[in-house]
Amino acid sequence: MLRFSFLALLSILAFPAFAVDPPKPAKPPKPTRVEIQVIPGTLRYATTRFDVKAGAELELTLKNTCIMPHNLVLVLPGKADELVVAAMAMGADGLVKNYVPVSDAVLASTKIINPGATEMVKLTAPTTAGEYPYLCTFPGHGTIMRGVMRVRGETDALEKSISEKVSGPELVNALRESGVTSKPMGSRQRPFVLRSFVPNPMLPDAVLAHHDRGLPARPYDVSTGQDTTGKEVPAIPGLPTGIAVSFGPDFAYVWDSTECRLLYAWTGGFLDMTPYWGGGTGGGRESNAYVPLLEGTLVYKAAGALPFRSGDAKQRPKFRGYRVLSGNPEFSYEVGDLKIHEHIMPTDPGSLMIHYRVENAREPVVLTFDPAIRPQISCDQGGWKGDTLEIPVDHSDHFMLLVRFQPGETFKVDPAKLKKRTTSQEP
Amino acid sequence: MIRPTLSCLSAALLLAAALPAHAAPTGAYAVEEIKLPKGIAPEIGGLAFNSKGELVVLTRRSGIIIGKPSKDPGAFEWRVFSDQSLHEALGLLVEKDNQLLVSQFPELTRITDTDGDGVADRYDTVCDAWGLSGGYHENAGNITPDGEGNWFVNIGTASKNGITFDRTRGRFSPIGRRGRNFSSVEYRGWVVKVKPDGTMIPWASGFRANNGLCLGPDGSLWATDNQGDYIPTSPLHRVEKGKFYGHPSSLVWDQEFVRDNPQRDPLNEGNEKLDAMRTKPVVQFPHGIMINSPGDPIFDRTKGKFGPFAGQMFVPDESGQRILRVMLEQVDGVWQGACVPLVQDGGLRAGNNRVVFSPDGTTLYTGQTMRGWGGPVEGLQRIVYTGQPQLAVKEIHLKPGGFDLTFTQPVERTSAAEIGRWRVQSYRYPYSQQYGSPQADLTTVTPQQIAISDDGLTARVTLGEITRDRIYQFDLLGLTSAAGLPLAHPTVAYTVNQLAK
Repeated sequence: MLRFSFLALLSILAFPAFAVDPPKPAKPPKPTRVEIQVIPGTLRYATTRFDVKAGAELELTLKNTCIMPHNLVLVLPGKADELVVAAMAMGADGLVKNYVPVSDAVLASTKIINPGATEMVKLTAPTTAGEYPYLCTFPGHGTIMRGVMRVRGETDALEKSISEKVSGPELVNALRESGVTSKPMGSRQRPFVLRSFVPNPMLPDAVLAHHDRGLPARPYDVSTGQDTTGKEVPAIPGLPTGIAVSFGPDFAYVWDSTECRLLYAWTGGFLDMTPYWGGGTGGGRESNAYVPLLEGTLVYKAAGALPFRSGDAKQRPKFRGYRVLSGNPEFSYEVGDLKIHEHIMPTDPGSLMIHYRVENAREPVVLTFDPAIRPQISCDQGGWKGDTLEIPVDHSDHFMLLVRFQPGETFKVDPAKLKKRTTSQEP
Repeated sequence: MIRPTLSCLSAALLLAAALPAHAAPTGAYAVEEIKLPKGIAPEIGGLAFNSKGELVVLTRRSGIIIGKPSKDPGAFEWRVFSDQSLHEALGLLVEKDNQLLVSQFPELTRITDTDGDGVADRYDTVCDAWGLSGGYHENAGNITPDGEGNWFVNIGTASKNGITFDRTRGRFSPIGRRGRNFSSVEYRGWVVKVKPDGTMIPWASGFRANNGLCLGPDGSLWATDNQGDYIPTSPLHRVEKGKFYGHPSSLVWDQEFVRDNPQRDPLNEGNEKLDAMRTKPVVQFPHGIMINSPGDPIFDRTKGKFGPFAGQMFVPDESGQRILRVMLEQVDGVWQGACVPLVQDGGLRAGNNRVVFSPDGTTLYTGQTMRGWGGPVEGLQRIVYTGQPQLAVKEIHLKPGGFDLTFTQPVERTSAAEIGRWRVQSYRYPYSQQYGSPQADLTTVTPQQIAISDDGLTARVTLGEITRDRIYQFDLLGLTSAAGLPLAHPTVAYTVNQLAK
């Protein structure tokens, strides 16, 4: 490889020396151009026969209009079957070598090209007249996907190719026509509920006590079935079970169905779903960075353990779902014996309200807040002992927390961390 | 001059979507485009009819809409049942006209309109017992009633092309995280059973990107899976409790497997051992020839309203413009069978993910989506049986030393009996951790004899020795019906698991 580059370089460097007075080259005869397409999904070339003069310069193009990968291998008369067997014998090696066996019978070949791709090969047609088959040597295709190049002698007439037109009904791009966007937004009148992977704006560990830790992994090589020594694949910040609600550009929150609590709230936008849903009306996902982007400024971030203490604190609270009140979910979950319903609303100015209904309380309901957020919180019922709020049993079926916004941090994913938009090959 | 090869399927599918497809050779099935309302991303995660004959359409991110079908495919009357963006909703079951069971990545959710205004107002979590780690591929879908009040649900693995979060819902297993497609959290790569009270029972393991599940007429459970690591070509399985179907990562959550050693790593078992452990597919769909990405299968229970294939299974293809047809049989107590396209091209999009029959049985609706898995091929179409005659292979049965093929129309007997028109190859797909397998040991089989029945409806093909664990692919070249119709889909591939006695 190195040697080749060196030679190539030499020839470029050397060229001017010979180019001072270059002899005028004779104009080469125009090559015969043949393009072969594929009938989509049928293992058939659209052109199954074409004629060419013996010894003619030929530019043979395979345009893969199919939904499967194909190649085109032009072979000596009578050698097509042999090639199919030889291609098959290449086994796992085949794909790397485009299923083109090393054989004197091969006159020309393209690579295995993917749907939509085109490849042109140049060759000089054989000087011996005859029928030269071409075929796709991709496994399973070779016995049916064939055509023939007829090399005609000096006196033979060139007949018209046998071709089928690759045409049919137009397919509608329904996604584009839908006019949807990857930047959804609700309003105060019609909140928009979005369940998705959501960003984790560096929430304290105690808040995510009922999640497990995802760990980095060694890269894995599927061809050997072994881990490799390459760079570790990181575990990326993000939360798997968010429920995000937008009330318009001035308020949004994320409630989590694993922790069963309000995780954070923000103003100034909602979630930009482009990394996950694709740009415009949608399409490609950011390959390894599809956590939605949080647009705006955080005004509330949960801190400390779940405020409700009942039963085993290590036990994940049971998420029961939600009912929708004026487009806004009232979440239901169970902590120990308590059945808790909570309904989060923006209130003006600069605060949010959580309306609680707690069922099954046989003793005062105790909510304990982290000292970091305690100053933001007040309640219309019960009494405070430090950071602990106690709601009498007879008020537990209806009380409200007022959470004042804390002028907060902006949280943005570093655009440099976003990889180029690609999608994986397999569904 | 040589243009760069497009290396990803997304580009391919984009192109496939933009390209005019080749017209189907016959008119037995007509494809129609169903127009969805503006503002709804037509990424179809579920399709079902309610008792009023309305079509319920579950979308992956644009909620649930319900349409009153009309003869004009562009004139459905649509209403919104839910405008919430569910998290990759991929499973749908109509429980009542006002009550749906829906699966989305994190859970199984019952969605109900309790106040009768036509819009859902309750989203009750029925089961969220499986883990979620952030993979775009961590599907939960294909809700299939077991006939006894419970449901089967597919729980897919994550792909290395996605993310693992540093916080996961459910236990994280570093061992399960290894590999190409992996099961870092609970029950990834399983079919699970969910009871009405939400209890989850791990049912069967060894799945990779299992995106198809349905109940057979005899109550048996059928699942498709997608070709990839440890899945040499896309399979169809008959799923039984406790069995392992080939993709090893799921075994980290198998109590039996890790009983003596919680650190037992399924990827270190070795391919030979895993191969011996697995239950082999009932039918293998040859990759690149038949289907590349099977979606949710359905049995034709229309009793002939949808053409001559009553009782057979249809499998939509996500990465091809086709719906496949599966001809099953039991040979000496062992399930096996063959596949052949049912509809191919003719205006059909790729992305075929979910299919459902219209209540009258004449029409198969196909919901399409690929967004985020490959390039977007999204939409809703329907395939109408026109009743026009079509020559197709109706059934294929393994016999000692050969096969019997029956046809939907009498074939032209003289030409059909020519051995040269019967190209038969046999090959197998070896099991390994590699991403898909090439065909191995490909042999061309020259039929010894072709005998066409007097009525022209059956061909007996004598091949001589037939070998187990191989696929026999027939390419029937230039076969025509007695009336001159060409054979609609000339390639048929039969998976031989058991020899006929």
